[in-house]
Amino acid sequence: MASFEFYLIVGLAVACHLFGGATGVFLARFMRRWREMGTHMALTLAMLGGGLVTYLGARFWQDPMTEALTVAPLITGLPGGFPDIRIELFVDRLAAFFLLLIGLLSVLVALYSYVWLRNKREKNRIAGMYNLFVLAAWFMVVVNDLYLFLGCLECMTLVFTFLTLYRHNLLLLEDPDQVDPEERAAAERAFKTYPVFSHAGVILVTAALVLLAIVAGGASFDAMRGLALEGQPGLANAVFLLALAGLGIKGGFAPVHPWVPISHPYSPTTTHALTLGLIIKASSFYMLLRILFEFLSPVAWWWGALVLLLAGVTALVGVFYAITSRDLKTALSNHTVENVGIILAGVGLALLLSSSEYLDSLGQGASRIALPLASLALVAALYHLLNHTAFKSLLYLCTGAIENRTGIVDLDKLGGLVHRFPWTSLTFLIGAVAIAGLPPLNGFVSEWLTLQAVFAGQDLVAVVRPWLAVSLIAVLLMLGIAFGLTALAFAKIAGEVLLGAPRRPEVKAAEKQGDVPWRMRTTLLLLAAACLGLGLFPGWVAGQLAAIPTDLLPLDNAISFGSSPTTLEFVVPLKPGEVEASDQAGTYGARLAVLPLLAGIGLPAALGWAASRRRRRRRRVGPLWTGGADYRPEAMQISGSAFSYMVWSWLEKQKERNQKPGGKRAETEAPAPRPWLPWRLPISEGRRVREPFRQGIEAVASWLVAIAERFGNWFQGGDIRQYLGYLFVIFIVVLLVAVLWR
Amino acid sequence: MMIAYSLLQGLLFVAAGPLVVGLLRWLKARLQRRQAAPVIQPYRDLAKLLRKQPVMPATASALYRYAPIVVFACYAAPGFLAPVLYLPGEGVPSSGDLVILVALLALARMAMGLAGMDAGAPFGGLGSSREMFLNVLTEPTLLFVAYALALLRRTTDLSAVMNANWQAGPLGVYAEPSLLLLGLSLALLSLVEAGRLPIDNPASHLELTMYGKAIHLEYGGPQLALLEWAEALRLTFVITLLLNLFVPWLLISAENPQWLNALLVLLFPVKLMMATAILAFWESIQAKMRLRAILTPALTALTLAVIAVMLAIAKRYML
Repeated sequence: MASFEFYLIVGLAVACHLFGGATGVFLARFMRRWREMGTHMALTLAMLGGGLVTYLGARFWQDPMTEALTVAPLITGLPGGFPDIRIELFVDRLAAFFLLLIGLLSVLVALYSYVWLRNKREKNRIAGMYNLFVLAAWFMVVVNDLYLFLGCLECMTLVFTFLTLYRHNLLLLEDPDQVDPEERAAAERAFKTYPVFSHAGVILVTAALVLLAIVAGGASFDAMRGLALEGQPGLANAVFLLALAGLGIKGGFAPVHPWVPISHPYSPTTTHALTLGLIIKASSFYMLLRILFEFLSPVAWWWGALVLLLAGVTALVGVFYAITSRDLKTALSNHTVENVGIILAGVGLALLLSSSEYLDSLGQGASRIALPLASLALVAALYHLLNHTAFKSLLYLCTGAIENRTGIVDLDKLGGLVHRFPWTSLTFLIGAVAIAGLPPLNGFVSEWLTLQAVFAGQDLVAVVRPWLAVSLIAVLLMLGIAFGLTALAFAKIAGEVLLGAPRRPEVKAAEKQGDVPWRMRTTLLLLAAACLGLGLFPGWVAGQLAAIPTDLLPLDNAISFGSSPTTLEFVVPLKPGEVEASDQAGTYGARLAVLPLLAGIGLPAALGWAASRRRRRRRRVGPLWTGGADYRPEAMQISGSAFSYMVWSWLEKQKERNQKPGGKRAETEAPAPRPWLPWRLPISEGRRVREPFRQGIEAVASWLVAIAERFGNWFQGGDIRQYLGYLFVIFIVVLLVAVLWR
Repeated sequence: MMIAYSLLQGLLFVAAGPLVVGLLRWLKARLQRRQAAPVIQPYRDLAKLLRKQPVMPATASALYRYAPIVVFACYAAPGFLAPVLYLPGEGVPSSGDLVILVALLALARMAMGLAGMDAGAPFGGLGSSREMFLNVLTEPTLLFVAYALALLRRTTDLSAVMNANWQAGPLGVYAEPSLLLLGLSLALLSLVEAGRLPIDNPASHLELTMYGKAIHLEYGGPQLALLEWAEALRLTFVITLLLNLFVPWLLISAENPQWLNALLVLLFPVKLMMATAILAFWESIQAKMRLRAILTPALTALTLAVIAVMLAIAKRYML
């Protein structure tokens, strides 16, 4: 791409989003009647900007940059030998992949928002902030230096903090007596928790990157690439741990995930689709892949094992609390954590297989065996990232459509939507089947690929340290349970929301409105088509994605996924040296052929359809059998908590289980102080399950606060002599520094 | 040629499903000294149900009609994709990957689960909940079975695994401790997967004790026929999977001489009958477990599969 064209498009896209942000946020401030126009202008500009970003991504996917473009030095001659601040842009395949995703999804969400934001308070500001958020997100991916990257990350945090205020601001406008105090507390917690967690993450990422910058002697990522940290294992480990912790908080990895379900459900559902569908992964995995595979290239043996264990726990915890969630938005937010775990499993496996000790032990043929396997695992992770973007944003937007029609997202109030909202229901079901990892949709392909990568990684790990295989076994165990639980979770959610009869009269009343308008419907159908397409052409998609690991790993050739677009097949060598094709023990291969699979399902399905087709007589509709009583949908249908009782009952305290709701004990006992993170989550009337991770974070946080209080009380003693003493000490220190510096 | 064989095998599989159930019921009745219905009774039931006029509950949607078709297709698909009767030679690309079959079983469970919720009936939801819970118990174990096979045979493709077992000979299969453990684990698991005693009593008439059958309560006519047929196919599939993995020499193979293949075709019903007889005997001496107690056999199967994986890794490491 010629640099002039590049500047033009980047400039235009930035201008679109900035101007969109400005119109949305400021225009309507002055003139009330411009509010509608400001919203529409902002959304149109978001679509334009998103289109340009998509174009950029597509261009650079075809023809990635080989070296960074320096746009302009911004600040030079900083004191203390600080490196110059300059705007550098670099779009390799990894960046282009994220650019494409951000561009496409932002266009779709903007199209959808026209309808969703109608009649919403603050719609103009949400539309404006949406522009700024998208801008920060895609700019974060193209920048090539520390300062701008962290700046973008921080901008995203600030903009999203504003968005998490949404529900709280709505509650403020309502009659204070009508608002449930718990609901208000939860809404407050949403915007108070998010910045705390996010900033903790940003601080840790900053520490990791600054450490790297100090060693590299420059803030540009170019200086950090190919930085040989082989001689300094301590430093590499420190950077790894800091980056994992920081990006783990940003991405919702296991022990530090609770902010995801606490904050996200209180943001507007449209931006929710973008943030949890994509940005949570873009803001963690993009940098994680860069740091792990580009900046810290010789990988230590235990990193992969640690990441794999984290991945398993993340997947399990995410799906477990998705099952216990009581409203649709929280359930989907929790379930995002599960998918982050599956993606992380691929990354962990790639780390394990590309560790330096492992490569050394294989000797000469190392790169021929280990690196294709590592790239297989990375492709699995990226494929799942792509798939998750498709089905999770589809499910969020369906949730938004349901919210738009009925005004309700509580699972135990909805029901029977399939009768009146066929398009929303159909797309929701497609998303649910896709997310449960079932053929022939996309979730299945990436889960299959992740599992096959684990199988292919098998005993190769054992070559270095046999007990490392334990991490593979553990992650497979946790992923297997998580896959099963996901199917249960989405049978429960889809069943509660779409099927059966409406549980509340207001849901029944909403049925009169009919299905969503065309702009929403188009978005939903496009995303559903993406779920189907990514599942039907796995060979083509994986073949495209295989280009990314060639940039990250020292690979000679990209791993081949077969020539047919509908067949995903791979063969990886397991032995060093030349291996003959007939040598079964020397290779591991697997094959996912979509066409025979479709034929194998389709043929009996056609048989079954032909056999059960109605002939001659018409189908009769009869009443539901309820044992002779009148049908009461709110009481006779299974509730979500009963549906999943076998899963969550073991985390309920035995004492609570026996205690009746509203019993004597509950009245006489003084109310416990409200915790910062509530860790006893209500699941049904009088029933609560524990969330040990929140409990742990709460304990650590209150311990830190206690220490800070004690130290602060001592430090700010209030005695004038103490403060004079501080001045004296500072004076001495300044003098000492001045003397020693010369 | 391959396609014709798969088609023939699949159709035969679909046709043979009810026969296995009929045989099982006949054997069980005879073992318990009851008057037995004829072996072909399931076919008569299916024919009767398929002729009936369907009655839909008022609260049901289109999903109610299409879910049985999906369930039927998922349980019939292994007949078309994996070796049931005929083992293709080595190197023939096949699509009977074990992980894919696991996903097909899960898809059938998901369709069943959704179908149970669709009518909004009291028992349907109960059945869905239990079906989906059983899926949580079986899926990890099946993945570990796939992992162990991937370690031992370097592939998860069923026909390649069976080919490898075929070539390894009896010593290579029965002297392999991890394969033996795997067989035990799979045998336990097939009881859970196919809903046989002591996990589930398929002959139960009490709604409160039903698992998948509770979903059938709202069904009638052709849709019920498909669900019953699918259940028969599920049982046939787990039986043939166990047999073919651990006694692969009874499969028809291109490498066998013609006369042997002809003999094996005749032997196929005998083989199924033997397996069914063992199952009938087992079911006659078992009582149904409580729902919570199912965790024990399920976790036993999982543990056995994990130990099989560990043994396979240890073997690789030491050799």
